[in-house]
Order: sequence, then structure tokens, then C-alpha cells
Amino acid sequence: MNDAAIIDLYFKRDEQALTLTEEKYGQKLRGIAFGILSDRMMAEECENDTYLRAWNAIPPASPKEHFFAFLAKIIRRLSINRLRDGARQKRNADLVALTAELELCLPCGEDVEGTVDEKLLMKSISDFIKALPKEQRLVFVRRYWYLDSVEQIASRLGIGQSKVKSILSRGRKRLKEHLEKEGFSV
Amino acid sequence: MRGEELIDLFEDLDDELIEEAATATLLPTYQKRRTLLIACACALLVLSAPAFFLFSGLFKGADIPTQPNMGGQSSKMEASGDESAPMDGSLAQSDHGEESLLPPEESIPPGESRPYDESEHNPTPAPTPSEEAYATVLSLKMHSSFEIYMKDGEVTQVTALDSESGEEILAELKAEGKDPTGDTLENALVWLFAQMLERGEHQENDTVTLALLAYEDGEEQKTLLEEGADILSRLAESKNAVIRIITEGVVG
Repeated sequence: MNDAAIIDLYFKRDEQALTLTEEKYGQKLRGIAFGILSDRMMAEECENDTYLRAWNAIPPASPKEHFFAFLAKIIRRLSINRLRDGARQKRNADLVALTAELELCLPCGEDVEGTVDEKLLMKSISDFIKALPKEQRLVFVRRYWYLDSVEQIASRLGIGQSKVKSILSRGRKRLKEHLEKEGFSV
Repeated sequence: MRGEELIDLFEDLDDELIEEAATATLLPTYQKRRTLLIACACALLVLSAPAFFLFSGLFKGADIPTQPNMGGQSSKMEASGDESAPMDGSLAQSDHGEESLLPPEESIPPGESRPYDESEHNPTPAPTPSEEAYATVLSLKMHSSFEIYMKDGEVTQVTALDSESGEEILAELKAEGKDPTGDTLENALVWLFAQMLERGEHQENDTVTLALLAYEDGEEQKTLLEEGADILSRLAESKNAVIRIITEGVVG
């Protein structure tokens, strides 16, 4: 069943929508949560919470075109929150490392006006990533959106870890230059 | 913005980028590898009959015939000083009474030297198990049999074995847009198994055999088999099908 038909079921408040969502995207969603939490049970809890949030959000939301991305964003947020709340020390350490990487290329701290226009910033980052060649694009998104480790990315994409590191390092440098050109102070 | 909020900032990344990376694999690389492997296999089959027997023996679990002289390494034939035997691939009895690829000695007229055989001087190396173990082969067998090739946790190929219905099942899945290639083991098993059940190709207490071939890491193998069995059990339960699942691991 296609996404539009599933969304229609949400609008009709038909609970089969949840079953179909789970059948179609459950595995991938669990994968995202497990990648962040490294805990199967917590990942499943986040998955269930995601369905509940989706049920409450649709309607009025109607993510017919990018239903998976809609769900993925929910489970990513839930998983990161769970990670911060919980005592998953090792993964928390991963999160700190990831943050340190991002601080090198994104506006951090407060600028002169005291705020950064986040929407504008994110659009600029999205534009930058979209313009990258496919391999670099996948590496970047897997690292900073899916929070995969370098090793996981290398294994998933069938390339060496050193290549992943070099793509990320060069990418961050270019992103910093891109953002500075767009008027963000990094 | 605080440092850790940068992680949250990424949440609003473009939907298309998120979906593209969800099942991210660099397929062309895999396809190139596969094409290269197939090309190598074809070259082996054409150029070397002994390599063919060895190759098929590896996959079918048949007795592998005594390795003929592959050159470069010292062999029994060389040790015995018998260098006049032609290598035409015909079968004969070896010293130990086993079937060998070497021809009988009587077939060489005394005093005549054997014809020059290029393959002997430039032998094609036989594939070693580790070279063949580039992928995990998870075999799913009920009334239709499938081999699920995996690499790095992803399905790279699904092949129907000895069954027209197996081919039909794969064709049907493809028509429904459910291509297991590049997807997860769970989806591949779910789709194949669901199709088999839908076709009524099962009876109560059917046995599903999951066999894992050519996988070197014992722990990984165990995990993969358990995972496969777990997925099938849950699926059978959800479809009210009673099956028995037997897992066997075969390291290639």
C-alpha cells in the first residue's frame, strides 16, 4: 500500500494505519533508534512512541509525499531525548564526539544578534549537502542525521574507514566555507 | 546555540536527503563487484575443467575430486616423475583407487610426449573458500528454496533454487516493488515467506530449514541464523501457520 493510502487511513482514524505503518517502515525506524540508543528494548519503545505521535499528529499533518522522513524525524528526536535522559554513557560519549565535530563547521554560541536563524541555517546546510556528489552526500547524512559511526558508514557503503573520515573532514571544511559565504559566523 | 543543539538542528534536514540515505548503499560498486565475480567464474569455467569441478563441488557440497597438478606447487604427479600425462580432464583411477581427473597411463603411447597444455603452464588458480565467502548465503527452504546472499548486513542477491514457483515468487515480489536486493534480511525473509504462505505452499508442521553457507565468523553466523529463525517464527505466528524451523550452519 502506498503512503497516500496509509495517510488516508490515519485521516479516517482507522487503526489499521498503524499496522500498515509498522509493516512498511517498522524495521527502518527501529534501525534508526537502535543506531542511536544501542538498546533493542529502548529502540522498540521509541518505535511505539513514534506511532503514537504520528497518530496524534495526522491529521492535521498530511505527510503524503515524505511519510518515511516524517516518521524518521520523530523517532530520531525521541531517541536522542531518551539518550540524553538515560544513562547510556557510551552512546552519550558518541554524541559528545559528534557535537564536537559539528562545532567545527556550524555556528555555535551566540552571534551578535544573540540568535541564529535556524530555519535559514538548515536550508543552507541542506542546499550544501544536496549539491555534494552522491557518495559524499550519503556519508554526510548518515553521520550527522542518522548518527552512524565511521565504521558503520564504511561497512554500509562498502568503502574504507579512512575514506569516510576524509570525506567528513573535507566536507566539514567546505560546509564552514559555504556558511561563511552565506553570512553565518562560524 | 549550544553545541549539542547542533545535533537537534540537523533534525530538519531536507526530507529527500533523509529518505535517500535511509537505504543507502553504493549499489554500482556492489554491482561492479558482482559482475566482476561472475566474469571471473565464467572465465574459470571456460578455461579450466578442473576448476569447474572444484567450483561446483564447493557449492553443491559434492566430493571434491583430487586436485590435479595446478603448477607452481609440488604435486604427486611431479614427484613421481610422471610428466607425460596429458591433462584433458578425463576421469581415471588414481593410485588410491579414487576418481581422478588424470587420464590412465595406458592412454599415452610409449615414447610419445604429451601435447602442450597451456593451462598447465599458466594455471588458473582455483577459488579458495575465503574468496567465495564474499557474501553470506542464507538458504531458505520450504517447498520453494531460495538463497539469500548478504554482505555487510544487507541482501545483495536472492536466487530461487530448483523451482519454477520460486522464480514466480521472485517475479511477483519484483512486480509489487518489493525487491529484496539492497534491503534487510528481515524484509527479504518476510516477503519470501509471506509469498510462500499466500500460495498455500505449506502444511501444518512444515519444516523450514535455514542454512548458512560460506560464512567465516562463527559468532556472526549464529546471530544471523538466530535472527532469521526469530523473524520466521514471528511471521509464522502472525500468519497462524504452524511450522518447525531448523537452523543449520554450514561454513563454506
